[in-house]
Amino acid sequence: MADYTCLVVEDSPMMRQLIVFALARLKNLRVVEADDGVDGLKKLASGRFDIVITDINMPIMDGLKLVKRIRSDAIHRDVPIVIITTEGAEEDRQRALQLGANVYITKPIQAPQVISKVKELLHIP
Amino acid sequence: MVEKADATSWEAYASRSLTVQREEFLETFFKRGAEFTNELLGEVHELQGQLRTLRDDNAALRLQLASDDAIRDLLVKIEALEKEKRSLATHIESAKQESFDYNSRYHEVELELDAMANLYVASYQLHIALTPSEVFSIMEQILMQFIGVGRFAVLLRRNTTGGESVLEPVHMFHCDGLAVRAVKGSEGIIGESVSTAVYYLGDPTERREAGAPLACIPLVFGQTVIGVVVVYEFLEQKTGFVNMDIELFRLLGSHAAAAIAGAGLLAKVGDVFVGLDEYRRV
Repeated sequence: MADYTCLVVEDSPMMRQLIVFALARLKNLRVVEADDGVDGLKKLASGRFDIVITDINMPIMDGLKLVKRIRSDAIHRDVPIVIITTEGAEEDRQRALQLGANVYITKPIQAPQVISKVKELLHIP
Repeated sequence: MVEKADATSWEAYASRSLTVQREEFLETFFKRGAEFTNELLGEVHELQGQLRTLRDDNAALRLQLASDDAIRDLLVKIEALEKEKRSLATHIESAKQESFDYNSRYHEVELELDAMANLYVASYQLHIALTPSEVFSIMEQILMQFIGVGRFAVLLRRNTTGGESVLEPVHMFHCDGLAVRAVKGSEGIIGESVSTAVYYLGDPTERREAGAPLACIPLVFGQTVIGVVVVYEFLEQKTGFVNMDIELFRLLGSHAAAAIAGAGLLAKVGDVFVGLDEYRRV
């Protein structure tokens, strides 16, 4: 049984697959995938998650709205959130962090960087 | 009478004298004996003292010798320990180097694994794309999300009746404001990349004219170049090419070309089973 559960919200199947591959290197981490913000919220409502990784630009509900919703959710308001996005402008970063994201990573990603941030946020040695 | 008396007195005198002499002799003899005995006793005491001294000296010497042996043993032990210390220091240094090598190798393997995952996902997605729009969507994702390309166009080759080939833009990604136009098969950087089937990488730090390519990736299907991906701009956060980009360009060059050709043929035929009939003929 996994010690941690991670929700990956990403509309690009390729990017999602890549993130899941990267996270597979962490023992005891279960990954749940979602296509967009709304799907992410549904998955969040179905269980308890220890960390959320989300893209920003997604159809139906974008990543920033998802961050706001998570921060006002009674169960998941304290869950660490990692943003992985193509938006590299400083104002985008600041906005995401102000909304409550913990880490802001720009694409293209390197798996070791993502793993390192997830381990740091989950206090995995 | 007198003579007799004298004789008697002489005898008495002589007798007494002998007694006296004997007593004196005895007295002297015993006195000397006592003195001699005293001297002997003194010498015995002195000898006993010397013997004690000698014994003490001997004991001290024995202790000294034992101490010297212990020091010698300790020196031997110190030497052995020093040797062991040197050996351990060498081992530690070697272990440190091994650990460093291991960490470097681990980092390299991590990056290789990362690259493999990128290539696997990109290749997998291109191979499951069935329609031209799916192929272009996958190419967008590879170029933008995996490489960090902000603007690009796909130009496909069309052979004219005059025998010349023209590269025509068929898909553009965030190319608003760029005059992306058809290019002759050997014109400029794009034409050269297509005619030589060699990708072109410009310097992202150098100023370029608007619409000038930053990179060209020829799309090669078998031995034929069917088109080219022209990269105009990176995403804001991407500052230069990395090794992984080259690997992905290579993959795009061949796999995307096959996907474009395959999806195009399927779209034209409209039925996958028409294509499968060919296998029955084989």
